[in-house]
Amino acid sequence: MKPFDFARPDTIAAAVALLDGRDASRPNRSALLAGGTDLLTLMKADLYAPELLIDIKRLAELDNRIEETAEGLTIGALVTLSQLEDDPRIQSLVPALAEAAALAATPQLRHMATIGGNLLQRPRCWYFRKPGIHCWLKGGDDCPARQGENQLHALFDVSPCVAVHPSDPATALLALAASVRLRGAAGERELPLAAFFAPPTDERRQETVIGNDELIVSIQIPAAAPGTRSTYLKAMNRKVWAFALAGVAAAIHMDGNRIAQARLALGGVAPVPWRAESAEQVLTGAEPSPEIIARAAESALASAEPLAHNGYKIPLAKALVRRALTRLTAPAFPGA
Amino acid sequence: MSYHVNGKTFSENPAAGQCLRTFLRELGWFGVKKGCDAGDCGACSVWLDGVPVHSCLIPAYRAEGLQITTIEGLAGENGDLHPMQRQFLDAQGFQCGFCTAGMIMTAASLSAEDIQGDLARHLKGNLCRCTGYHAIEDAIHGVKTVEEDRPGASVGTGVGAPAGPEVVTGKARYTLDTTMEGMLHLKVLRAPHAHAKIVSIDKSAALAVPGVHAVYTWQDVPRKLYTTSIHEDFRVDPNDTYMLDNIVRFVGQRIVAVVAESEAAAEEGCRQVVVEYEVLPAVFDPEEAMRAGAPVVHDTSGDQFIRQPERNILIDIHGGIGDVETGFAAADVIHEATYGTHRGQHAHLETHCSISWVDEDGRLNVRTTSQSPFICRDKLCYLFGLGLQNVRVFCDRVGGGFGGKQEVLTEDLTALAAINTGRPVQWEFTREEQFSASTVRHPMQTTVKLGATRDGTLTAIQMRVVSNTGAYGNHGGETLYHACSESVGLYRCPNKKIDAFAVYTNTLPSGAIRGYGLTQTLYAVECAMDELARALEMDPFDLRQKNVVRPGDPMLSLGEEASDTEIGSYGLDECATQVRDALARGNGVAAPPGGDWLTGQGIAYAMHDAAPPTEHRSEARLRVLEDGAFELAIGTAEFGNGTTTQHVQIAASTLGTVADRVRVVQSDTDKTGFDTGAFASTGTFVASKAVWLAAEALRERILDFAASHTQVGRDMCRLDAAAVICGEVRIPLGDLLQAAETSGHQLALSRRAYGSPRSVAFNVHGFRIAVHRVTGEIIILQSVHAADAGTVINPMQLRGQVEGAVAQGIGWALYERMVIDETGKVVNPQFRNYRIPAYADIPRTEIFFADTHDTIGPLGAKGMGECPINPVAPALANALEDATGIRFHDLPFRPDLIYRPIFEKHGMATA
Repeated sequence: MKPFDFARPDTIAAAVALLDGRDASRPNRSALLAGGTDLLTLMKADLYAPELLIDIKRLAELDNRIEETAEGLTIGALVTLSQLEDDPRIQSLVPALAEAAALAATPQLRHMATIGGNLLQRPRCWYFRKPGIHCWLKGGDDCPARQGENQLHALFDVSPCVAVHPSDPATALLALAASVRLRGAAGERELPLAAFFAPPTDERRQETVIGNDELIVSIQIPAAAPGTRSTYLKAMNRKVWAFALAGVAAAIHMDGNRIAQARLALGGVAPVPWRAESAEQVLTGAEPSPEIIARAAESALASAEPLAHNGYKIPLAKALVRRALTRLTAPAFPGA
Repeated sequence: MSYHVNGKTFSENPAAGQCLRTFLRELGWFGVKKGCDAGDCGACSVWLDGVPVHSCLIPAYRAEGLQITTIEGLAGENGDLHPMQRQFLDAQGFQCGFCTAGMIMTAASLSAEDIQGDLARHLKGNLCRCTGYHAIEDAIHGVKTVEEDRPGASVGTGVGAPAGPEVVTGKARYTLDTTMEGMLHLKVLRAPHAHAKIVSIDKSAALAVPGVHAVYTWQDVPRKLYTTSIHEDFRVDPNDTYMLDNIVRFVGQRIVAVVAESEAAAEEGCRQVVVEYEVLPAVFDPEEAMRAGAPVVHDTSGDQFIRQPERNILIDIHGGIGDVETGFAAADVIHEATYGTHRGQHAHLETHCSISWVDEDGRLNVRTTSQSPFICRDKLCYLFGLGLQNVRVFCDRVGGGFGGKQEVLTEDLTALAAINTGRPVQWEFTREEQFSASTVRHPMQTTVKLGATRDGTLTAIQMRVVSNTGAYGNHGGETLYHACSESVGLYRCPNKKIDAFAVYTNTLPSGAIRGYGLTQTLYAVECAMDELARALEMDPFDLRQKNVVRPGDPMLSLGEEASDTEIGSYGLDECATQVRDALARGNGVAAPPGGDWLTGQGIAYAMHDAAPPTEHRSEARLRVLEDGAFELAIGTAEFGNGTTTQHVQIAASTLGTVADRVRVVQSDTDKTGFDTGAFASTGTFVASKAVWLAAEALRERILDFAASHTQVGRDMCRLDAAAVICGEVRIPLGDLLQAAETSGHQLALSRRAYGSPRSVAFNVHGFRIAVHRVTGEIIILQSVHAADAGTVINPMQLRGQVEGAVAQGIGWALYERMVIDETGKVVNPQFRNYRIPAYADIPRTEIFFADTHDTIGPLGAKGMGECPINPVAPALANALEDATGIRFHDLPFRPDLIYRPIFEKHGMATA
């Protein structure tokens, strides 16, 4: 790693002031450090060399608590993945999030990694992570994965970059209709996750719309109708500690034996967590059956455009969707 | 600022940009290891306020004011081991021990509930490459497998490794676990092109970087061709390598070395070097490389060893017996197919590293992680024109090898820099360098053609092998010979023909790795035998049993010439029966419910020479110490293979004592006799033989002297645990030593052993697996392995060797894959993208040992370091065909690579 300075501001305002949002000529000058599990790997690989790390992990104004209100759950940006995995309210109200957190990374990393940082982590594409390859996402002209070794890459072609978003919790939060509260020099704003994540464009080569002078304060999960069930399933190359080849998060609310509401999100298939709205439409109002579930799975992947080496993800993701929906709509669902 | 580590407070401040791992090591806590520096392997795990974290991903500043606990702080203040440390000792939950500190820190943080529950999930942040995780699982569950040692009965007992207490407390010292005044750090700039000529190098900006002492280019190093490969016989490898060269032959080749006060300054120096390249056309595929007009990797000006430089052929081998055309004409059934194996990396957790310095006497000292300090020394002498007496090379504990450290990859440059600057110089590979610039398993394409009569008798075996040696020829020839020998020698057949080629390409060099070329061709032959059995509608066991070599048979492959290999003991039948019976019994594990899983079983055989055909020798020096214990000096390095334990067991058994009373001095060219190296499965077969011969001779000498000293009849004298008993008199060995020295007798001697004649080891593996008919996911339901290692010197350690090899075999066969893009770059040089098995991935293998006694090996034993990996991949391939009805010829069997044909054949049922 290159040398860096270390600051530990006392307030969010002070932290934001140290960010270099307005100094476009020196975009690498400073970076926020929360859990550091992604930032440090980027720095060690020489992909990023901030001169100043702004430690926000002990910032009193930033929350590391989970709160439940009538509106839903508020998760402070500094809540760690281990907290999400172990919290009884997360486990009972939004199990998809607890499951996604538990399936992510290693115990050591989960003790360190915060949910805010998890949403902001950069892709694990091997071209992006390889120093010396100036890929499009790093400001280059082309995406080498498009014609290259793309077995781990995106099925949905929505950006010049075909890396996939690596976060498991993000996929779960998308299915849970969560939103993100941001604060910056210009004040506070709240964005639905679906708007917070946006495929990288020529003008904005990153996976979110967060401003250079903003940080995440908290994540809100709206209270779902009582009895809403959710789950997160993940397929990996190895049994544990691998990024998702495909992940599926689903939240289902049953009204009698019909599906009153369904939200379905896929991970590992696009540069951002991917919502499968057409599949949700197939499900909404329907009586669950193997045929309906299979139709929903087909629909979720209908617009997939596989690259040369990642076609296997289509049946894999479909199988995961079927498994998740079958589980959530089973009459004997645990807790139903 | 203050930092609290293991109950002590430190006022030192971390450097700008320093992570907690390196800060703790600077404070002297060497139990904190580096395996990856990226949060993937867990070797650096420490506790922050009681919670385990990866210290490599924490800026050191952040730990200020928190309670930091490393492995050294886990034991109580009075030195009592933490229960988890005790358990790791009792089950020997380690081999090389490099991952152990981190593994224990994670395990010690778990509740009883965690351990009984989803242990796989809790252990996913800690990787071990040696053990296959069985011993670690035992340790965490509190199972005791280490057995009590008894005087004179050590051999055959599961005695714990002598280094165990140091390993579990973090006190074991590996190569870089030391500090030296004035240490400089070396880093290299590596080539961005697969094939290029260096036009110019401007090092002025690099030299101007604060802290940079020296910058070396190809013009600054001895212009001597050599090979990085470690063999005693220098004639078996081509001299095709310069320390630094002006021709680039693969992406990642060293171009410039920078030496500086810190790693960061050396890295900055590398960034500032300006190199101008003339890029040349490159070739990556060995078949293309052999065609006329292909880019030439090494031209005719190089070593004459290279057979056909213009066709990139390093070496070609042609041989056989009988006449295969006659054989195929006599066959009722002929099977022919081509089987492909890929690169695989050793992934030992300690990366390559060394420290060199010139001492006050002007001698070059090199502390390194090597499987052979002696041959490393000889190479350094050659490169720098030094006499043997002027160079010392030694190893402390080595963090895993598997063949990767049968290579000189760092010592030459640290030695150069130390000689040049007069300062100690250290160089540590990053994990990325380990993947993209060390060595890999030779990828091979092997075409096997088999002919048999209707009753299953083989009439002809023909094999064509194309091995990709990469940019350099280190191990390229010997792996090819090995690939062509036991694979075909395993079966009796009057007609055999082999054509094999080792070919240069512009990819990273291949090298030595467990199995040494044979793993690749045995994969092909054992797959082909299975397909032949299917064509003949024969049971795969029956077909093999009908054709395997039997005691007394010559093991013929390349020709009829006399060989020094014999079947010193024959346990193959017993191994086959054990595996066959175990598979027939089953283990009660069924495929997951739901009708989406296809099941099948497969087997494979393997045979492996107990030593290499090249020179291999070892010397053991044994003496009585003043306190009556023994000192054994032996050159073999210990990197987790357990040879040290075997050595002390053999010495103890022979000398009537317990292993604890044999103290070992090892792997130091100044302190021990010559040893060719810890490779080619020779730790048992050669080095242990030297120990056994020395111990037998010392026992006789002690008894002879004791008899004359006490005037008691020689037949009335015997050794007990710490003394010699002559009739009614008991003389402690320390006293006897004093008496001997007074009268001018020496109770010290040495013996040498030589790796010829050679025996063979046998292994059989069986798998029952389930394959998902849509996604191609493979679940191992049952894994069975039987090994013929002759006399089992240490059953616990032997089981560990087998389990570790099986785990590596499973990783290589199922998901480890090095991806090289069209420009020759390794695109996945990290553990996050090159997946080695975690605890969750490895099933518990049922392991059986054949009851045999080898007539050549020491005390009837033969080596088992490599052979267990050989049958793993073909047994999986055969099970996969049994389950799906589809033959997959190319490894690995990862879902993304195999799902399509499976889905097309089976997926439509309900999908």
